[in-house]
Amino acid sequence: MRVVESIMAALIVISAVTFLYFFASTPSSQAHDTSELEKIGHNILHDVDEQRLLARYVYRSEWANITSALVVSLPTNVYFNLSIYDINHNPINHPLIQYGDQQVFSSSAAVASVTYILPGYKTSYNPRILVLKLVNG
Amino acid sequence: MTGEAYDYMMSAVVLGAIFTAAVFVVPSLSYVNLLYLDQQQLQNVALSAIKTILFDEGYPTNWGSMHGTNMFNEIDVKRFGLAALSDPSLYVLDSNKVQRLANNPMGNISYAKVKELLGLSGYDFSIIMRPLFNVDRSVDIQRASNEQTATITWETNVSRSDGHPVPKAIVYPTIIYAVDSGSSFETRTVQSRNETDSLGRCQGSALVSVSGNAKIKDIIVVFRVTVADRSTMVVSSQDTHDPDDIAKINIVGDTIVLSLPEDMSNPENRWITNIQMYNFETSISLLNGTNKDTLNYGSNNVWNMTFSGLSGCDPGILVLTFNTVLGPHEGGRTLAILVGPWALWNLGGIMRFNPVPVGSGASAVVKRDVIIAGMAYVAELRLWKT
Repeated sequence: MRVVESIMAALIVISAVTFLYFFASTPSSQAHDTSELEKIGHNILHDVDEQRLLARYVYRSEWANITSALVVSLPTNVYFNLSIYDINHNPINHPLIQYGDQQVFSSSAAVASVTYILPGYKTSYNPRILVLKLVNG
Repeated sequence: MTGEAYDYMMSAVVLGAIFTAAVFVVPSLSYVNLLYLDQQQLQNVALSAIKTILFDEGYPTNWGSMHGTNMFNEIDVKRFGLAALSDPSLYVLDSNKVQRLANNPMGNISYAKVKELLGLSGYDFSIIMRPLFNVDRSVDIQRASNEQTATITWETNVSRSDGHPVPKAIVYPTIIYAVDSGSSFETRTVQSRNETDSLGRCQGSALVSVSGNAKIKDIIVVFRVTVADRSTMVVSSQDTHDPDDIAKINIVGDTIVLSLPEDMSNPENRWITNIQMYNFETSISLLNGTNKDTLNYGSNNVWNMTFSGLSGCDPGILVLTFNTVLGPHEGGRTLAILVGPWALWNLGGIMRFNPVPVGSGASAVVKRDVIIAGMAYVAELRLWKT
């Protein structure tokens, strides 16, 4: 009888501790990392656009320049992959714009994605959708 | 009797297991959780603080330049923020405000004041502004004995903050040299272009010469480095004197303020012969000095003059030529060139605010790319509990 009582008491204590542990659990680290990477990605695209370079890179097909600008701007441990689409979400044909081991994108659960829209270049309206994926390497 | 003993033994085992869990497992779970909570709380506070620092203009909105050429007084700052007043874009900072974070002869804002204005009691923090990449350079200047020709050789190494080389960076070395023609002084420039190799290195050389009675005096090389036209950094190198021994250059709004170094090892008068604004394409002469344009340790220890529209010339540098003695044992008067202002990128190009070492506890770091005076920098906020 005492064995049953002891087991019951243990179960109650363990379930109470487990309940408290889950109750006090915080958002996952990955969610936090992704949010910070999204902020960094948007910050950099915005800054490059602010210097009137982003539209020039995209509409004049300066793919090496856009890669270099992102490489020097992003923190050194962040890998990226940039895709560009037209207004109908058809991919624009361009060489790979990326940095770092791309397998990390498939293996990591914390991939941040930033969408940035360029309305056009100079006076012509011809929107481009930039999708920048970031991951901690 | 046997059943009772069995009951007691089983109870002892179960209670022992519970005791072990209570003593070892539960505290470790709680500790990890608490540490993680602490880290996240720091991260949230850091995000909130950097948002205020970068997006808020502060109050008065022109607090970085509101005292003009008078000494800056931090008591007049009611709210802290570094955002540029005239620019509605995000992440564009006011260089007048940023310069108040560095040691500034015109006065600076203290760490305690910023901490109070940001409401960060219970926390400590440091702010670092640094260029997107490092530029190491070496310059060798060989002068002919007749002072009419000089060969300048340079080598630069461009790398990221983690030491990785930056290939295909464009380096524009600009040689600025002062020419004394006997009856007049002038400043001339020669610019060239190099591209870094796969190891981030490039080198080059140039010959400058004058004819007739003219003589080449001081020579300075200014390096402007860009990557994909975006990131720009300017560093200078010269061989004859330490620029800090001549004067300190500050720009407050549209006003150039020159002040003398605190070290009085060179007490001679500094006559300002010429000031030019150079934006790496064209050079605009702002001033041809008269005998009133002087700096000395007597009544003229600060010199200032306002040039309308000066603050809109970013990114650009000021090239100043002085008629001075280079040091107590350096012979007679000569021409010395000074380039500035350097408040943002002195000390190896990095501006540090409260650069104290972080303790061993948890700390949060938030970095953002910002634009100051037309150039790209990384603003880094590190925050920890007091």
